[in-house]
Amino acid sequence: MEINEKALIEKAKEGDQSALSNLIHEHSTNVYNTGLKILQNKAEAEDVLQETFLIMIKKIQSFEGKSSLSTWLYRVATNVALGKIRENKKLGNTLELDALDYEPLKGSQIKSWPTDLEKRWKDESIKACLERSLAELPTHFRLVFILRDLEGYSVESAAKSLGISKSNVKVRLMRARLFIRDKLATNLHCVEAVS
Amino acid sequence: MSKTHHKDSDRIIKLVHEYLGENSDKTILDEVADHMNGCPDCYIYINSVKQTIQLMKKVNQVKELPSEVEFRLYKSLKIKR
Repeated sequence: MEINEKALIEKAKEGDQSALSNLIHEHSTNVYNTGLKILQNKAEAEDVLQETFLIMIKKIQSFEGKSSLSTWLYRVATNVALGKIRENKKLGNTLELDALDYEPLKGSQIKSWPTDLEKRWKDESIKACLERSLAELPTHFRLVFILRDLEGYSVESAAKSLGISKSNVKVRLMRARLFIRDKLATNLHCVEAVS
Repeated sequence: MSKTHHKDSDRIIKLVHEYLGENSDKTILDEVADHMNGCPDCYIYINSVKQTIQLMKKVNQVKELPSEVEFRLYKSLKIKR
């Protein structure tokens, strides 16, 4: 944690509104992005943003600095977003390990995978493809993919956050990766076809 | 699927998914690397999965909080910006 942020946190604990405001300003974009990634909805991401900082204001007195403020806020925002999904019953049924199998390789799509994607990711059409592919991923797969692959949670932490078993995390993760990769390959085909 | 796609490929892909991003022991890494050297399909496939993950990290992210969202945030928190 930076010295400057430590000082701001101490001031915020003493009720300094300006310090609080600066902390909020510093972290608001990341908190909003967390909500946006998990919920795929700007209005709900804004709710996550507001609720996360309301929690921060209430709990800042007890913040001990064991982790960085950004890590702490990220966890809070993730929990708030997951809570919203549970409220909306978007999580779906628990998937049994035995009910799912590894998908076979899909030869045609393997060969058609573009090699210059990373260079072209800023293209609007590619960006739209990426967003559509993520949005098309069913919620119970998307959450595992986001927590584990995009945000770097361990399998164990992701399982705890989602209230599912570790083996379930692994199965959903694999399914998510394959689903999104295949969707991306299909969607990119559409882009290539019209360009 | 090319002729070089091995019978062992599905097991290797299962291993890769199991350990992608997790610490795995050297024996598994070596086995995967050996297999990928002789199996172009697996090589492309596994790299495309890795690439998908890297690309997805860039999706749905704003560089800066929209000003109207920031305005509503401070208003709801009753704090001056």
